[in-house]
Amino acid sequence: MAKTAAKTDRRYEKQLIARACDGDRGAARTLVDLHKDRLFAFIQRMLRNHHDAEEICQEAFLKAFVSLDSFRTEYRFSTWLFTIGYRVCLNHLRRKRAVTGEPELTENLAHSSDATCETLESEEAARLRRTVWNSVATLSEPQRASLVLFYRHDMGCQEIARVLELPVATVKSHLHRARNRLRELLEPVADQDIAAFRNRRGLAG
Amino acid sequence: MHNTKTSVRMNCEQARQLFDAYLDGELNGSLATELGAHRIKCSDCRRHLALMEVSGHIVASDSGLNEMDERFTDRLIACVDEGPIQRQSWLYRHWRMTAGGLAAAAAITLVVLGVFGQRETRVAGEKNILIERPRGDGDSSPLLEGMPSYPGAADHDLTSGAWIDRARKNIETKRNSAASLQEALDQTANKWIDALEAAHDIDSIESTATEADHAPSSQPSQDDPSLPKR
Ligand SMILES: [Zn+2]
Repeated sequence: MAKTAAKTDRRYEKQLIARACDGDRGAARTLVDLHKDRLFAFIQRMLRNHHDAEEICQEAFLKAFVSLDSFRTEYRFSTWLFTIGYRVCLNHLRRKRAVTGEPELTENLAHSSDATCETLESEEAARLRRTVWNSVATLSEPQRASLVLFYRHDMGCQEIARVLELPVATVKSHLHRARNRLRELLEPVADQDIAAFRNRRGLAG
Repeated sequence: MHNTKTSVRMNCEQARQLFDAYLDGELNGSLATELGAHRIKCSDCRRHLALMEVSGHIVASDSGLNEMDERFTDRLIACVDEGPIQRQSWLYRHWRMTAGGLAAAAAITLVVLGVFGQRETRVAGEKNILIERPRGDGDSSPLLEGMPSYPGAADHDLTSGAWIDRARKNIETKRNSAASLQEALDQTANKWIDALEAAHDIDSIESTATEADHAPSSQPSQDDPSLPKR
């Protein structure tokens, strides 16, 4: 059932690409609408700055359209698009680093929306979320990309390897380091939260 | 290293070597069972895994992102129409469409298109990144060489088409944002608290059990500085 749906979607995707190649704006639009949210989410996490993210996302789509003729439809369009997106991000970060030195190490994104989050979730959960995203921001680019693609975008190591253009073993090693780094940084927060939680429930002792 | 004999109990070092495979969903059979057994026995490993799982869950349920401008697609399509490189290719394609129908013309078009496509890629590369490779810390596949536009394409997989489902779900999720965001946040918080509480409760049970029962032989041979001091 799911397989049939996937096949239909693949066929639909091929049609869209073929039509977009022939100059059909409607098809190009549909392709953008289907993929923009995922790509934008990924790029925001890579750049840690939403101001640049939309521009970079646009650049990635434009590059994809320029070379759409060379895309081979037996492959997944999303993987190809993310490969382009990742490259654009890396180049952007490199350019930025060349101009401003090392980029800021704090996550710009999580904070802006955390103000609203904190009213919805417990103090512990908000602190935890901040800690996690600030930790993610300290990872190297391939580590960060591997982590975000794996967890947020449901990609397996094989597909991540294609997006990052790295061997699968290297991706696994990036994931390993990323997980351990997050765990180390979470340890003290976890201790605090256990204590706070047990205090609230009258379990302290 | 971890050629585990089923009769011998796994130690922490062996268990930790399996964490990634476990988290990647690649651990099956007797190793998975053994890791599960070790996890029940060993509070340090249980805590390690809980922290990794919780952080993975937070990344997965990412909610701290900004919404995209709703006119993004309009602006993008306008750029496609207006950009010098893009205009060339759209016009070209349009010409190809109107001239289509004759098999010979189509054949010539395909040849020309190939050349044209390559030139476009080079032009784009001057200002952009098509040709630049990401800074990798390993060798990229040799398959990628000599494929100027999107080398990774040579390597793409044919089997999975679930992406479009996920893309639609994502769009759907965004639409229901307010309600589902709160739900996701609550779930994250609950899972985290549950994981921590479970880890803590089992710790308490264990700490009241006899010291001998605490299986000191299953501790790592060297101290792991990242472990919490207890
Ligand atoms: Zn252990």
